[in-house]
Amino acid sequence: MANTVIGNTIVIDGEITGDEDLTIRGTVKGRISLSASLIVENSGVVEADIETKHVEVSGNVTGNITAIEKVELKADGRMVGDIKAPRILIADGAVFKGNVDMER
Amino acid sequence: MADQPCIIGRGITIKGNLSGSEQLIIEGSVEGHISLKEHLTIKETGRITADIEVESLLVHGAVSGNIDARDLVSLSAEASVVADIRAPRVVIEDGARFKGRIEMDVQLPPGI
Amino acid sequence: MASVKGIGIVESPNVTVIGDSVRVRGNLSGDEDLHVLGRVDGRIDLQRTLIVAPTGIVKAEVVVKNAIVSGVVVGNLRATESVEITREGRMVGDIFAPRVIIVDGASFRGSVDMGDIENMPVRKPSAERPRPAMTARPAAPPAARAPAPAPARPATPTPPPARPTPPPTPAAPPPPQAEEEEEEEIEDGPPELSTEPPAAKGLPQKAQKARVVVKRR
Repeated sequence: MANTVIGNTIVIDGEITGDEDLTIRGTVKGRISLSASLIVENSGVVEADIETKHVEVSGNVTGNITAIEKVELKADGRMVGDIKAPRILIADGAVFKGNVDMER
Repeated sequence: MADQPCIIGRGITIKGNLSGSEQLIIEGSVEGHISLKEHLTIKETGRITADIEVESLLVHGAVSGNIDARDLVSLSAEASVVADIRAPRVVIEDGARFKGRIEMDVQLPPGI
Repeated sequence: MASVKGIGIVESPNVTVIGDSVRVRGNLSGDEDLHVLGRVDGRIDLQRTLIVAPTGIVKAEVVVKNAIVSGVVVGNLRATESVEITREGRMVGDIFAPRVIIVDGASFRGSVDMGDIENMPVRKPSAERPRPAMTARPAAPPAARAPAPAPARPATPTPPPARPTPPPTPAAPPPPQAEEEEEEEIEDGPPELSTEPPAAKGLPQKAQKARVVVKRR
């Protein structure tokens, strides 16, 4: 199974949809809708609304996240936006500003 | 860290503009515009409906759009391409399906 | 048919050769292969294969079964089977053919129309490919009956894996003749000819019948 990686010099302006895992090291502006997992690495910059199963943020996200399973903001993650997910993990060091909705 | 080309997997669809300066392999779908300063490979499962500007291109899948490359554009036997291609080198392999224009620089002898 | 030998003429099976010092203006048509080492202006209609050698110049509307371009073609090219532009080929014009091959190094400007490609099945690169065996080597060494030993393929730099099987003999003697013609008059074809299994189905050349007509200037 191909593991989609958006490299750090890549800029995508538009909409990404898919049913496989996605790792972002570059920049995505627009919308992301995945039925699998999204990983935003350190160098990743995402300005988009995200709908996915599971997200792990170590980079920069501006936008709302809706996850079916879990959202994780790692220690170097920075996020501005609302999170809606049944499980949320915000690590020490992460920077977050927004609303959290964990309703099941 | 070794530079492995990025892969846009089969299950991914991108609608919009994609640009970058690293090698890219597309196995999924892209609709819009692609602008890459490096080599782009479109695998058999790749479906591109976009104008493409690249350094060089290798197509095994389907492309519809205009192609502008600084170096080689190569259509493999499994490719299906409808495009106008502008590049200094173009290769169409036996079996490739192509419809469109090709603009290469052709040196004709004098007096033609 | 008497075969004529001389400069610019290659004795070979059923192929008409236009030597490199020859220039033809007008319409050329026929049911045999045509090998152009000189120049043709006008129109070419063949039910077989047109081979434009590296020294050849064709400024014409061309309608053929197969074409192998290693020289210069200016004009539209319509083929019922295939068109190949080899590494030394240079073409300006439109191509209409179900099978088109452009080799790295070729130059081309024009449109390519393979017909309805949506409904074209994925075709494995075929082993049957026109063999451009006779790449411009007009001077047939006297002894060599076979049309000048031509490089097996006009130099395809990066032979894709799919390359059709090269002619059985490395020395590339004239490719096996088309099956169809086998039976025919093989007036004493050079040994190689007869032993060659009819491999390359795709293209032409072959046949025995040494009959060559070349118009001298």
